[in-house]
Amino acid sequence: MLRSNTITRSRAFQRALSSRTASVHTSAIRQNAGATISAGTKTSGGGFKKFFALAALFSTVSYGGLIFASLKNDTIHGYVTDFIPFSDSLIVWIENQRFQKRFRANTGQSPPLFSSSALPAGFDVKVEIPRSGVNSRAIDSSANTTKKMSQETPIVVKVPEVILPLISIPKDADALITKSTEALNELISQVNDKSVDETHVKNVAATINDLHSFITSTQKSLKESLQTEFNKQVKALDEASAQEVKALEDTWLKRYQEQQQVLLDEYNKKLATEIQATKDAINGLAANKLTSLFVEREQQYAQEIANKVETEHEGRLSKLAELSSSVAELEEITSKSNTVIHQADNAVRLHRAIAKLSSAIKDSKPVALGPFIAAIEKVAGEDPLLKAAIASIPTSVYTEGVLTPAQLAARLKLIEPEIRKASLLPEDAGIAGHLGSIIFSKLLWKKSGAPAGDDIESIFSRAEVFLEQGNIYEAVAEINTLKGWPKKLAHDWLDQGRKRTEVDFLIQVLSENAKLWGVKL
Amino acid sequence: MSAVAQTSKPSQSLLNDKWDVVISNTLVKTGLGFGCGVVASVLFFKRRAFPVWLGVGFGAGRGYAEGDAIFRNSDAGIRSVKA
Repeated sequence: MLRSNTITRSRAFQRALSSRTASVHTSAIRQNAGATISAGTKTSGGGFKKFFALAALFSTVSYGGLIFASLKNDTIHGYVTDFIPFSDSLIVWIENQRFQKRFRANTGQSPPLFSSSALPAGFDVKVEIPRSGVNSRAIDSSANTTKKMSQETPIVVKVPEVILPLISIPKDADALITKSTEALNELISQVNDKSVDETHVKNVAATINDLHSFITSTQKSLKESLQTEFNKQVKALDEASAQEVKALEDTWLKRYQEQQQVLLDEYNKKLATEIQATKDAINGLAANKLTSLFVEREQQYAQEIANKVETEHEGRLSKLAELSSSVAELEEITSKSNTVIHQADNAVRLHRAIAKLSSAIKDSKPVALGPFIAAIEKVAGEDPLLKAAIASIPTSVYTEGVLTPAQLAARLKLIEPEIRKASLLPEDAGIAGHLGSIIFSKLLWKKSGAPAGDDIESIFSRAEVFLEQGNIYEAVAEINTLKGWPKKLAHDWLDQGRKRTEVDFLIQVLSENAKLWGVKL
Repeated sequence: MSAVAQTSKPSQSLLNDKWDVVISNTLVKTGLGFGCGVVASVLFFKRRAFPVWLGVGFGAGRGYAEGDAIFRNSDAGIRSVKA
């Protein structure tokens, strides 16, 4: 089937190929002819011939090279088949050739038709001749061999004449075997003599039957004996194994028991030691508790004894305590009286100091009040009111003292003309205002007594009256009602007057407080 | 400080001090004006009298203005030099 297929394929291919190769061939021939023509006519010149030959050679070589390359490379194959004429068909042809070659190598057949590719002219003739020869030769050979075989078989059937040897057996063989052997030997000898008889054959058959029966019986007996033997042995083995197992079991049991015993002993030992330890611990604890209880008891006992002794002594001691308390009271009273005495002393001293201070400020000249105030401070101690009063005394008084009412009156008289000059000043006066005030103040009438009015003359007259009465406080208040330039001019006098009034007031406070000290006692 | 200032300048003499300053200042300014007027009259006005009077007037006016300022306690007036 395969072969016929390949044959038909090859034929079709061959036909297609023959036309193409023919065309290639004709072109080659044409080239050759051109070459010969050019070689023949030298009139056109050697250059042209040379060129033509070279061109042909070059084109042929490049064509072949391109075809070869296209067989090797797929991209070149694509270019070549696209742009070069006849290359497609030529490549297909070459590939087919290759395929056929390979196929031939695989099947082991060599149709001479494909092998001859370079002979297009005698192609068909060459193909037919070897093909028929091969076939006929194969068929002829097979026919010849079968004929020879059929002729030789009758010659082989002819048996050659042979004398059969007798069967020999060892002499100590079984009787039956000997017998059958004898019968066989007899048969052989008779066969050798060619006087074979039916009886002999029967004889042989009988002996063989006997042998058969004997063999079966012996086999049977042997089988039975073997069975029994086997059973016996199995039994024995069973027993032996059972015994062995038992022995093993015994030994293991023994060991197990021994081990158990050992473990039990160890456990008992441990238990005993533990019991001993716990016993000891409990004993120790109990002893401790007992001792502690004992100690507690002793303490309680001691306490009780002490209590009893104390209660017994308490009767006497209570009287002593009463006495001591009365003594303490006495002490307290004495200390109280001491403090009272001290306080009275202090009060007296304070009174004296304050009296000294008040006499000092009533002096006709200003006296430095520092030492007097220090004396009061010393006596006053921690009295907050006295402290505050002393603290509010202006510090300049300590060294300079305060002006007496007479001095204040004299000073007021001194500043009066100056203030009078400024008495008529308008508000925010310039040179003209000041000049006018000075001039026109000369024309003012002086007042006396206690006239009503806010003008400077009446204020001055009232202040003078107050000063004459010794009421510095009111005089200062009157002068303080001045405004503008007059007040500025009276600033120093006001300061002094205020100081004086303050000191007076504070001394009064101190003396009142000192009186309070006396009352407190 | 204030005590020291008070002792150096008693309050009743505040106005007198101001008067001192004003009068001296006016005198100085008037004198300056007079001087300027004299110089001007000699140099430019052929010894005529009016430049002298003009100078005296300028000086006195300046002194008056400054005196006003001094009394009014404004920031104007003569410059105060801290001793």
